Amino acid sequence: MTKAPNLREDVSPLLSVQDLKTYFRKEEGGSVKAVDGVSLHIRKKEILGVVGESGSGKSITAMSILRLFPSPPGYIAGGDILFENQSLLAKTQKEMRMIRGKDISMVFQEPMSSLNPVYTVGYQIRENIQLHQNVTKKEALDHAVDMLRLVGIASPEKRVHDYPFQMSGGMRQRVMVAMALSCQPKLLIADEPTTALDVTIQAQILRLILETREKVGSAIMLITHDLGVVAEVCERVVVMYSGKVLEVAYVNDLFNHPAHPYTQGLLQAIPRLDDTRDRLSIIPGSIPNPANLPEGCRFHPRCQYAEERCQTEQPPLVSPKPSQWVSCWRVVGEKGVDSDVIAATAVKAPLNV
Amino acid sequence: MSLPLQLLKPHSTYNAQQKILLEVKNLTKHFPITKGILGREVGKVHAVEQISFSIARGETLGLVGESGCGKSTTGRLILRLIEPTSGDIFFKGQRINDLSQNELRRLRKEMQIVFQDPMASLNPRMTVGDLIAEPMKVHGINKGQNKDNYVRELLNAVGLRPNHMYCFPRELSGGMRQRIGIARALSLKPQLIVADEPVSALDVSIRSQIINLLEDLQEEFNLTYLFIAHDMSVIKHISDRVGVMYLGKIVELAPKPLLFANPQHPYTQALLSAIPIPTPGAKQRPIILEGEIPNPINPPAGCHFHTRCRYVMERCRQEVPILKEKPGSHFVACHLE
Repeated sequence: MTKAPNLREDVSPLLSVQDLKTYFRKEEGGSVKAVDGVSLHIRKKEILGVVGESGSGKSITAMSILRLFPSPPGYIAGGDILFENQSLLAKTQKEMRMIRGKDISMVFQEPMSSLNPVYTVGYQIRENIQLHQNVTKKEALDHAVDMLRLVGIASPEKRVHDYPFQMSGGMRQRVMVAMALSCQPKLLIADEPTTALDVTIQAQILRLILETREKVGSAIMLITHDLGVVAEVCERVVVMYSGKVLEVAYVNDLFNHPAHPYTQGLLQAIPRLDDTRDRLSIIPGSIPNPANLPEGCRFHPRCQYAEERCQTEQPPLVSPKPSQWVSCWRVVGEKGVDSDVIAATAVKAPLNV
Repeated sequence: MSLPLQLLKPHSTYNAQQKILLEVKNLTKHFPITKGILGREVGKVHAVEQISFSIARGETLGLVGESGCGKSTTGRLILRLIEPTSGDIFFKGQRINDLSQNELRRLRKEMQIVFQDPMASLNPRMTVGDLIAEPMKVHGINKGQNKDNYVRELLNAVGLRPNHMYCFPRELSGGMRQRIGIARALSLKPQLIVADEPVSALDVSIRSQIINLLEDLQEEFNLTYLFIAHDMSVIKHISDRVGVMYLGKIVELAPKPLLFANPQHPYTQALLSAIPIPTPGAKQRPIILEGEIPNPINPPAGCHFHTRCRYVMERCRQEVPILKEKPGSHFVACHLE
């Protein structure tokens, strides 16, 4: 830990995920390594972006934090998750239930499939409030109305009695946010909260999430594949690929000086409103199948800089400069870091970012 | 049938010198809403309302809008996968509204579609080779050895290997499946391809591969595209001209450089402003539209956008704005001057 300067040592992380491994057992034997040694942390009131494509393990990381992944076949094969310095993995199911929705809550991509169609939205918000707070039914319902007002739903006194099918996609996502924030969680995990929505509605929901952070004071872990959303909303970013963290950086550093070839490639490959190129640059190949991962660096089959070492050995997460962490042999090579030191720092490395 | 002059303009002026491949005039589609066992019609969804545009040979027209704006319905109407309620569709100067199923089948060789979700549009029990050869089988061309060679050629054209012929769709990644969807569309050597959100379901690092492929193929085979998407950045990259749709209507239609440099319709302005830009701190003050897209069963009177417009005037609530030409073949449907 000596190599990484503690930029904000005074702020102990709210949540820290340390070398987490979440695997899924296959029927034919063996496991799919969906999350394979992921370390990240979130500070109080911080907005952390977790970026990755399908199969990168970003959603499973979130599900692991709340222990919501299907188990079996899923299981935690290693690592730890600390929330306010307590291990979440050591908690019982019952204790986890008291944490979910109160200390840590989650907003999912598809609000229709995460709201119960046979109960009114008021009932569903009230249910969460009553579970975690010692209030009467009436008080809980009043609070639900307040929450709906907070997330910008017009005439909340009436809408609280609506069923989810009576609402549009954008309104349902507002209800999800209202529900998630109803007990003033310390951490809100938003898993692709705007992906299913139209852009003009996306802009509304992103603004809502930012505003509610101001009002409620929650830290936010925003999982997305959209680099535009990350640039606009997040303070710090974790880039994931194929179950691994490839890069961690402050948002400005990540977009202005991406260090990992995957991040660089991704930023160059996306069509942008403000570019004038005739032709997009591409990342060749496709995302590896999680059941059949490449040896060495997970990105090496698609990497233009791949060398022999990349094919056999996984690069550790090292820090080429303060507050930026990269998992790439090129960066290691430049820094000439001693591999023992790397191995020791890699596990808890991003804690110090 | 006589048409109001202003509705004829968007195609007649812009493409005066160019060869028009496809022309659409006052195209309208209403989906009936029925109730009860007698199927009594109780209302209708105004999916597409009186839209007119044309596409020149070799051109890419981008059609952009949010969900429910009618862009996909427009694509399906053009191929007559669904029947229009009214309006005319001309392909190479021929009106295709009344063609019989037989004539239509012959015509479909020349106009093909690529769908959004390749997994949903490819039969999971067929091999890639059979999937690509299927359109040829339907049309009775390229039989026997000839067919296999052609399938290999097509695989090559879309960036796959010949031995992918023997794979099943489930064995391939999303990007590869979309390549197969494109190979299928190409197999009959069409002139027009309607690409309905062809990259929306793909991962970010795969999208650029498919966009580049579509551009290469356009050049190689002299294709004309109607490119339907909700993503303005993709539309901007690939299109020559862009039409913006809102609630069944085209609100703005212009050559790409004009539309992006100088968007005229308040909706286009808001749409462009709402798109997150992957540069931290790039955006100053986004225009965030309040409210939601109204229900197309009961669209607002006057300008459909007036319920969310920043500049709404009394006139907008009553009078439907028509698509008027401004300098540079820039068409805008707005009462603002």
